[in-house]
Amino acid sequence: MAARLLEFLTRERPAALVETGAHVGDEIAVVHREHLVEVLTLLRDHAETKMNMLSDLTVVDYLGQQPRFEVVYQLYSIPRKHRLRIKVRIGDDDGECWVPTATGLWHSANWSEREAWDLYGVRFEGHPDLRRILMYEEFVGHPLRKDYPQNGRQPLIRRPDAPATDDQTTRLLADSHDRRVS
Amino acid sequence: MSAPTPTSPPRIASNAAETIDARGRQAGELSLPPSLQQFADDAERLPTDELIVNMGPSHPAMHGTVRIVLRIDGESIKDADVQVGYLHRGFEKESESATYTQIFPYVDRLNYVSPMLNNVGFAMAVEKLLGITAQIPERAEYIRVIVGELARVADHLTCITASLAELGGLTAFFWGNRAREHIWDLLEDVSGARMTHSYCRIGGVAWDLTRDFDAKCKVKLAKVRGLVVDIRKLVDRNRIFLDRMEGVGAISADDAISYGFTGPCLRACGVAYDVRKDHPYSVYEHFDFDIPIADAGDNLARYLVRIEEIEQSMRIVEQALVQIPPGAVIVDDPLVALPAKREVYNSIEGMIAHFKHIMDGLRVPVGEAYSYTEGGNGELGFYIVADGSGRPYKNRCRPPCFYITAALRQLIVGANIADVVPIFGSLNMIGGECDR
Amino acid sequence: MTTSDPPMPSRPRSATIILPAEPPPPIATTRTASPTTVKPPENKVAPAPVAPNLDAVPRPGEATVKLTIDGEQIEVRKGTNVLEAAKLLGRDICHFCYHPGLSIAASCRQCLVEIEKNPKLQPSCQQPVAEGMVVHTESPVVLEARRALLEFTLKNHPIDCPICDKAGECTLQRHYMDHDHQLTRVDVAKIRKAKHKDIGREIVLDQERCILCSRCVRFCDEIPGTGELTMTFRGDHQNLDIADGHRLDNAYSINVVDICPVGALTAKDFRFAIRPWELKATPTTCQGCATGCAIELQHKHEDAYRIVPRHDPDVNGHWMCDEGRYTYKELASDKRIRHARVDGQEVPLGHAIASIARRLRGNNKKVAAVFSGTATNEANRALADLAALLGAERFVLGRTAGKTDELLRDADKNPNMRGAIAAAGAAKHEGELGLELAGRAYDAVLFLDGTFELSEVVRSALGAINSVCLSDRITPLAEACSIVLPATSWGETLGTTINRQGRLRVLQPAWRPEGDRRERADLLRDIALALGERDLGSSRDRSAAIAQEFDHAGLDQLTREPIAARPTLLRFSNTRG
Repeated sequence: MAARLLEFLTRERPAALVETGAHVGDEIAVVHREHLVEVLTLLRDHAETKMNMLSDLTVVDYLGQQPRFEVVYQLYSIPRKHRLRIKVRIGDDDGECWVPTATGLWHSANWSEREAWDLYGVRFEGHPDLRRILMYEEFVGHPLRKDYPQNGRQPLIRRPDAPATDDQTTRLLADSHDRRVS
Repeated sequence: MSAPTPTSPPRIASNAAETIDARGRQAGELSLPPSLQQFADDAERLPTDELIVNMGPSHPAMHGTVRIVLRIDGESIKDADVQVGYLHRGFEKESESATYTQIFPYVDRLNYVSPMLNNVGFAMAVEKLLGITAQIPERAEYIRVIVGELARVADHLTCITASLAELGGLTAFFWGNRAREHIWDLLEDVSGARMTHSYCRIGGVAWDLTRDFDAKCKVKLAKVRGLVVDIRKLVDRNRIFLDRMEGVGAISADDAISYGFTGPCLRACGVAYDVRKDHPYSVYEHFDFDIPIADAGDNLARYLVRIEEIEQSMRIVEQALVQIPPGAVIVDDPLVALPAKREVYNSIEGMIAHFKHIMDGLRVPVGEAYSYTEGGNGELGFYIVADGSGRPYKNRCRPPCFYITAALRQLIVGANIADVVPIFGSLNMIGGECDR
Repeated sequence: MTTSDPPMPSRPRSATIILPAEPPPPIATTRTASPTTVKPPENKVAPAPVAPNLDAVPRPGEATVKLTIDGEQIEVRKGTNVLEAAKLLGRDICHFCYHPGLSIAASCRQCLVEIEKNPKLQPSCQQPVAEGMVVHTESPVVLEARRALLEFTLKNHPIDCPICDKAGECTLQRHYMDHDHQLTRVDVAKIRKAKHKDIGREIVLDQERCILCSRCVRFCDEIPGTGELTMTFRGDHQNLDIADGHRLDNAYSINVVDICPVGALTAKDFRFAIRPWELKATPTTCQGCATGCAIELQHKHEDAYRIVPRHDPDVNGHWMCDEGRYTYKELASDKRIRHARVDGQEVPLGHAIASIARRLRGNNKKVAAVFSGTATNEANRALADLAALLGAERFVLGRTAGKTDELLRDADKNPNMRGAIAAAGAAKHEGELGLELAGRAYDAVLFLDGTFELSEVVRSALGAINSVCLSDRITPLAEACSIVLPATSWGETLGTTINRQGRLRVLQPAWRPEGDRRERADLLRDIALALGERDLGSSRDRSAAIAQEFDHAGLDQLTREPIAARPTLLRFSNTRG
């Protein structure tokens, strides 16, 4: 069932694929970033696949490997009842850490791309409103990255009208580095 | 100088048509003295500014803390910004340092009104990675279905009664809560807790049902049915309820699918997608149950789908209680299940196995899997990346109500402030699941 | 240079100054020849303990052997055993009694593998590789043999996991989970033996837990050569015991705790202190003496709990001495100096640096700069630069000499005396420092470290002049100085030392420094900047330069990638398999 999807992709867009595979019954295709929107559009619109739902969009941080991030799209077709996982691998340098947005294809990409930006720092070029969604605006860093410590401290946010205190505790807490290298 | 007397006392007429006076005002509107009337006429012609109004996050109707920033013009909403994340507790980050069994209390607190369904969903994802889905004993599968469907009943009751309470129908709220208490009594008997059960384990469930569960369940389900019938009598043809819910918050099927709607919200748009029927898992194929579909996609449709689903879930539970076989409640695999306590305390092998299971976690081979079940709000998915150790490398929960809440903006823009509450209530956004 | 260097003196070199009864020992001083040159002490360097069991990676120029393991052909060094060869393929054949640093006993039989053309299973630790050998490590008969043997081993093993130190890093637990998943088949009472028997200065023996692998017996026989432990009786009654009338008091006794696969031998210092899965390990270098053994500092957050040796074939082999293990106690948090002090008052670091600049400014100030054999190269070199800027007189101080032996302990208890002397260049002898300080010859003195032992008279003199001490913990010297700057301890430093062999040894930080603690080189740089002098460069820059100078790839990576400096989980407790 879903194996046909991989055959379909290999037939229609062989240049877009980096690799295909399956694990415990899930079909996975890794595509190049340049061809991502093309592949997603094809999967959404083609009569054979009709993947009309972007079920989930997330990022996996393989710290230590190159490229570091994998942006994972779970696609589902309600009429055809098949699923496919599309992945794109990107690095973490400033010029590298981006992916074209899928908001033009499915509305569900809007919020899930905001979440991916918030928690992983992956930009989505063309997103209409890429801002944090789960964390507050003054949050520093991207918490789900593997090098963000589990017990990280954040800078204190001072109310604009409140005076700066000289309290030693405040000074200490305001150190935004976590002392525990974990 | 005495105050001018009004020219005539206010008239209240039985026939509305004959009381529309020169200015087009209808019966019931008081006629004002000329000085005040001038003022009122001027006020009608004055331009009004749009106002930014904040709803939440601390608001009785913003379930699970959501902040909606509204730009309103009078009563109608011109634009809205739905801000979630107030209940973000770092579920994914915590999962990365917890063993698979330690994650069960975390998943309980995702959709905390139907925790059993989260338990089952997560357990199935890990079992998929381990490759032991076929080895789960049948009794364990039936138990999972029973507690899962009871949780679904509780979920739908929560949504409906909370919505009704916000509309002003407190009676239904109390009756619905009574019904929920019955469900929680049953689940407390089974797991020890009313809401956050941590009852499932990888490979089965933690322990068997109580001996009197069958009898108690029948009694309780009858009571729940009675209460649901009563609620429906109060609500289904209630003028106020219909006026506020029918046609309000409507979304088309195409939009809904594009937004990633699943579950009752999608079925209310006419799309017949239910994971239990389309991709049957566990023992759902053995049951005879229907999937209620509505067409309008509005609040009323969502309400009707949910209240019908309660009945269908109860049907499933009753069939499961009949079909459930005796047997083990957890897979017989020493790499997955803890050894019996008798062995743990009396033999070194049992002690070592228990020790390493708890401290290291059960080891899941390297790989990844996306496993999906029908949660209370729709397709509850878990995307787990395993690295061979006893702790997941990544544990992503696909939250059904996150995608549903994303559509809230579209639903309330153009509606009135008073519509925000029923629309939001009918979507059943659970903060724990949306924000994780 | 012109003087012939004397051999290792029998008398310890002392840093106490008061009127020595005899003239200071002739080592490391060239008072007679050239009063301002100091030479590094020359030691008879014992070679690192050689591991009797070769690792299988083929070396160029050596004979190799081709064999097949589990269907994969590999080429390994001739003379290695099959177990080491299998390691090259990533196959970790379970074993108890084999250790690469000890002789082979082949007594546990856990490493049995199937070798074609051999009717019986062979212990892979004892089997030398042969050309064309075909080995199966996962065939059914091998798996059954492993499982059966574990069953035998576990038959008499006490149910001590909840109270046993080793739980979490226990080889028996790990092999059980990997190879034997059966519950017990016997219901017979286990053999009782002595539990928590105190057999030495450092070690407690639990005879019931012992699986009779004899690693400890072989260790005591071969490495320190003292042979205190022995197996008594045989068969079902075999028992590990201390030889009659003896105590396990050799200088390397805690190594038996590392090599014991179970919790039979436990260290008194670590007993019940913490569970291993709570610990993280940072690879660093021991600061106990000039040998510079490669160690793992195991810690939880900012508290160190124990030190374990790492395998370094060039320096310490698989072992380290007991004295070195206790150096983790220097890192205790209750003694840490977190903030700068000026004249007894805690001040922000910036104030203290400004104070120092004020007090050192001026051409007529006579300054003494005291280099330290216990500080890193970065710190010493930074002090050299600052001393050049100030025109300061240089001294090199260190810890007093201690016990030595042929194995790993060096008499020079300073991890970096060579580095300090090299950085200081032309320096005066330490004996003179005390006299000159006591005689108020200087207006200011800058101590790179607080660990020197100076006499009461000298310390009281320090209060009167401008004395600055860069110290990581409270010591008598730090308390005597008028200004104390908080420095990082060796557990928080990224730095280098030079050991007695002239090798570069790297210190890796295990946690980030708290409060105002900074690297010494960074503090000295701030002092120079406050004096209006040039930027001396940060400690990190100096480490990178040293990495270039010594061509040390590991250090280079540490300076450039902070991720590389993160501590890791322990080897097989927690989740690293």
